[in-house]
Amino acid sequence: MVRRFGWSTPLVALLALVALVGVACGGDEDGSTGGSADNDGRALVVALTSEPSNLSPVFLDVNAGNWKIFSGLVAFDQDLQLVPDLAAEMPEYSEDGRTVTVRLRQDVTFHDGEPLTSEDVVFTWNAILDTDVATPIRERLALDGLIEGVRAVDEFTVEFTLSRMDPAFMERLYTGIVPAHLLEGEDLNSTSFNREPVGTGPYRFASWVAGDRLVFEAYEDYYGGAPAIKRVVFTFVPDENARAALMGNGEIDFTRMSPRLAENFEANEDVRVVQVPSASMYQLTLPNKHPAISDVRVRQALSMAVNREEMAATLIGPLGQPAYGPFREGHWAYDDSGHVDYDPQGARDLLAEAGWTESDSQGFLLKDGERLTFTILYLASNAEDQEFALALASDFQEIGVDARVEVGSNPGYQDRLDADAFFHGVGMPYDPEYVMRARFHSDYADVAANPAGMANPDVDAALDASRATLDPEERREAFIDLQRALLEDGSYLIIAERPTVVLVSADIEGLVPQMAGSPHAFVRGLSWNLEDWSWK
Amino acid sequence: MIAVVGRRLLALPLILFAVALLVFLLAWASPYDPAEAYVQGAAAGDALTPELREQFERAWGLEDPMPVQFLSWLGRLVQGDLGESRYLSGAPVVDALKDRAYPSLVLLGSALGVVLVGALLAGVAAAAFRDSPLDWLIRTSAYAATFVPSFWVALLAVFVFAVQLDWLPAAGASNLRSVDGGRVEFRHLLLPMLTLALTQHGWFTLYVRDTLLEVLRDDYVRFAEAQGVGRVAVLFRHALPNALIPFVTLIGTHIPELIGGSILIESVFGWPGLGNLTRQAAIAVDIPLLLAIVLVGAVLVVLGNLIADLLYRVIDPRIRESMR
Amino acid sequence: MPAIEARALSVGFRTERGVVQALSDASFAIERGETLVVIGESGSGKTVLAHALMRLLPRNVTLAGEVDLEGQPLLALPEDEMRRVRGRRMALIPQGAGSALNPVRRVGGLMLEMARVRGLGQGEAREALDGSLRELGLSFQQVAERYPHQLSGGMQQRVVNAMAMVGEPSVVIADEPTHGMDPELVDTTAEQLGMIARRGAALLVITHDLRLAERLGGRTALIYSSYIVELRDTAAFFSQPEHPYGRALLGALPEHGGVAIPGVSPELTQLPRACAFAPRCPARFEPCDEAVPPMFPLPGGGEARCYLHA
Ligand SMILES: Nc1ncnc2c1ncn2[C@@H]1O[C@H](COP(=O)(O)OP(=O)(O)OP(=O)(O)O)[C@@H](O)[C@H]1O
Ligand SMILES: [Mg+2]
Repeated sequence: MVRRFGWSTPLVALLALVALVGVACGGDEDGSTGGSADNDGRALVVALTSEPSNLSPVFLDVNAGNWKIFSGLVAFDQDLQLVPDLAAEMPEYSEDGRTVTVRLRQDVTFHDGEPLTSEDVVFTWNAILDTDVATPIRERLALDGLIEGVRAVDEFTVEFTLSRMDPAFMERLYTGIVPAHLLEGEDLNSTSFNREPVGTGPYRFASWVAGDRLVFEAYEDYYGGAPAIKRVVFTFVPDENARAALMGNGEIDFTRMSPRLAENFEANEDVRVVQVPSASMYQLTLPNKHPAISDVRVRQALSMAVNREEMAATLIGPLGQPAYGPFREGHWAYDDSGHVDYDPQGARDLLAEAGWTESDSQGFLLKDGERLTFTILYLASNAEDQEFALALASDFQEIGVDARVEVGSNPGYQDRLDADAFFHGVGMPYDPEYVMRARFHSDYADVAANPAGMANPDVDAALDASRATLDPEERREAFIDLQRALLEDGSYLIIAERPTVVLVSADIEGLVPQMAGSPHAFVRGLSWNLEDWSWK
Repeated sequence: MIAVVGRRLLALPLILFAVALLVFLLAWASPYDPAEAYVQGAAAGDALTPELREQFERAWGLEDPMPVQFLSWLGRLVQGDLGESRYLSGAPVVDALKDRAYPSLVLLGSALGVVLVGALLAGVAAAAFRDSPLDWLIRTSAYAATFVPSFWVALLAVFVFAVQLDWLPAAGASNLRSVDGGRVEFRHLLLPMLTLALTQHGWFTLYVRDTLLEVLRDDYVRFAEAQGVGRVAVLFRHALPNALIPFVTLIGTHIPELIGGSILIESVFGWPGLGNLTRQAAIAVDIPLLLAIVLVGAVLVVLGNLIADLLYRVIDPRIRESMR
Repeated sequence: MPAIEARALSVGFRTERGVVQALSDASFAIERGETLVVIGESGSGKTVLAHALMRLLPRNVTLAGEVDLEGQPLLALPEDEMRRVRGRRMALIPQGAGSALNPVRRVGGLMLEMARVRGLGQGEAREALDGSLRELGLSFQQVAERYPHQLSGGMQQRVVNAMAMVGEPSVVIADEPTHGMDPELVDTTAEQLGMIARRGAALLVITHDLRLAERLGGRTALIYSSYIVELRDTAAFFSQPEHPYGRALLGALPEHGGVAIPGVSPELTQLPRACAFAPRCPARFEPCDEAVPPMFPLPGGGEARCYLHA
């Protein structure tokens, strides 16, 4: 008689089988983790913080760069000066500033071998201007109906017609050019091109396994010469500790890291810790609609109460730098006289002048029996933000202001910006006309771009003056006026530079950091000249 | 048996419809706004002007009232079309799911296997050595595993095994340098699988222990003991099979939790699966993608329960009999 | 030397309601080939007695007294050795055959497994099982492939009985072995139990069936609220019980007038330090409420726990 134990035996077998599914799927393992003597053909592995969803420049902010798959008519050099790229030479404004003519290089081919012509440039720009295309960059590139038309003069000449003179227009030509012959008649919102792009840049798209990795290959016929690193693999790891682990194990070559975690790599010989000069600043937004804060003396007092130097040193570390205005040192429009002394006593005096003369049993200032109180909101996505918010609140409490700290929900926090202060990091290195107007002009006081709701005539005047001239010196002066007006106004307290730190394999040669914007996934400020990199 | 399967499968479309409607309503009532999320994700620092919002909503077909959107989505679904993902810039949702299904199924399947085997071993050991330090240890760790947040365990696992000990890779499903992607390697699977299993085994282990202890009080166990059957045989051949019958149903009902747990685990380990995609779709408020993922999840849950139910019927002779 | 002997055996269960005193001061001995019938109302402690003899008690138990199996003290035996005693030297026919058979196991496999524990080979075990099943009107073939729930109550009982009879245990304890059987089957079962005794085993039969008890002969132990209150020759007991409870019990039978005993039996958590039956006893007098009566020897042999016999 067969021994029978019912079904228990098959069940156990089934469980064991399920458990072994993983083993069965395990691939062969060559365990190569880099650091090998032979770097020929070694792939550059980049861990991004998040996966891109679309690589087409029609949808991409200038800040994100062109992913090295595309090139624009112009490019930025290391000092963020514009240089010709697809353009044969630097384009110039017409006399009245309303026409820009671009002559194209004639030796450029797309990755599918088709030559680049003026049709492609016209197609790209018309796509961006097409309101049926859901691109977030239209508003920025063609602010207030700036671009009236784009037309091909001949096969290699393009003419842009503007509705008004705009000193920052030239920079917008950085936008990558897409091939008309592949996209004509396609619905740009959903074309597969967005995820399998073809451009003219130094790298060509190879493959993309969603959620896993995105692979580029060197484009051997690149007009600037074939890149030395032949293969770039992007992987997507949101967790910083996981990225640090990958870097420590030599599994990746390039990733962004918080300054604090990056410090652990200082002693690691295989890894370089590179600080990318960042145009992003930590900023506290003071709500102009708050009854007490609407008084400029109160905002000034708050500014004087902030110990910026100490915060930068203790909260960021050795890489920390205090900041006072939205421009970074080294930027052509930076005002080196902008400074606020840390002066708690002066702040108290100023508050007294503003009528905050009494105080309650807990030492908080009173006016008409009411405390000077507000909440500092921050978003949980950045760990440093909370520490800054707490440090700010404690500095404010020091001078008798009852400041509290609260984590804001996104997007819910936006509804609270009329009454509450908001702490975050913000800023981009490109032409201030691009960035500063929407951030500070009273035209934008009611949208989230100018969350303090600041409406300061001096600020407006400086911004208006900066766009009324093409003369670099006059523009510089206008932006210096802007910085002074901002410091006067105090609606935006700039606290410190927000550093961008990248870990890079020490095997890479050719790194020259460029000033970067708000930290984008691929840290454009470092990868800007990727095609010039090579393995040691 | 066929009737049972038939009835469940007939109910499936109804369940899916209800789930889809719920997702739609939630998305509709949610403060998260696709246009806002899109602008924030794509271009840092940009403001969403009313004109831009209107253009986006037109391009995405979001201008119609909610019921119309739902019906048109439903109409396409009936024809087998899950629509396009906004987050994936117009890629068909089906393709996105196909790419991601394999790594997720490997992770979920192997983690479930580890959970079951582990919970059986630990649960039986705890019951067999009831009130001993071993039992205490197993119970405490099972409770802990249930209540400690799984992302925390995942971070700890990364820190210990990838950073400190450097035994296992910290992220991804295959070697980044030498493999083209789309594959799952065992070395990469280990850490996420074990972490997921560790954070999910708690209820199972406790359940095995408690039902076993209950079954051990049953008359047939006492009878077996009275007949002089050995301790091990009593445990494995007499008590365990009976304790496992309800356990099989438990597997079915815990599939949603397993899937939920995998979202966090996949995100921490950069696992190229559906869990990670869920997070991305949620951040981008990509309704078509979210809907599709939720539907896949619902189908998995219904199928899981169905299989558990059928298995239950097959392994319990008392029910099997009544089905003949 | 008796096959099995209990001395002052007491069993209590620690529960949330307090200690349930399920068996108190039970002393008796059964010789080889002898039969002891245990009767008593439901909940009086009969099954607990059976389980205590085999040490099949749950964790919340407190056990006092002694049990000797063929002169070997059982209560001090390590669990491993006790395991070897069960089945081989002492067999149990449990109460409730339906729940004693593992619901997910086929009857054949179950029977063989248990028979083989007693050291029988596969073939031997099969033969022995088939033999005892046939005596009860079944065959191994007939039940082997079935699950317990596919058997009738009477068939289940016979399967369980047959399992206990395999091998040659020196003590067989049968707890309600005729449950769910029609009169003919009761006869065969009684016959079979008689066989066991004749083969030389000590037999302890717990039953509610007084006719079966009479038929089995031997001696009878009557239990009331955890106490053995009368222990006598079966025939003598049924013709003239000596303990007032025994008298009341037989008097309650329909053929003797069917006069129900007034009152209820005490809660086992609150047993008085006195005669447990006193509150319901027609013959109650002073000593009854002062201390628990010991077993007093009866003139015609046997014992009774009653001050009337002091
Ligand atoms: N494990 C236990 N824990 C607590 N109390 C118990 C336990 N087992 C039995 N008892 C109690 O002990 C008493 C005697 O139970 P037992 O099963 O011996 O009765 P019985 O005489 O066999 O009754 P029946 O004729 O109904 O089978 C009952 O009051 C019962 O509730
Ligand atoms: Mg009983």
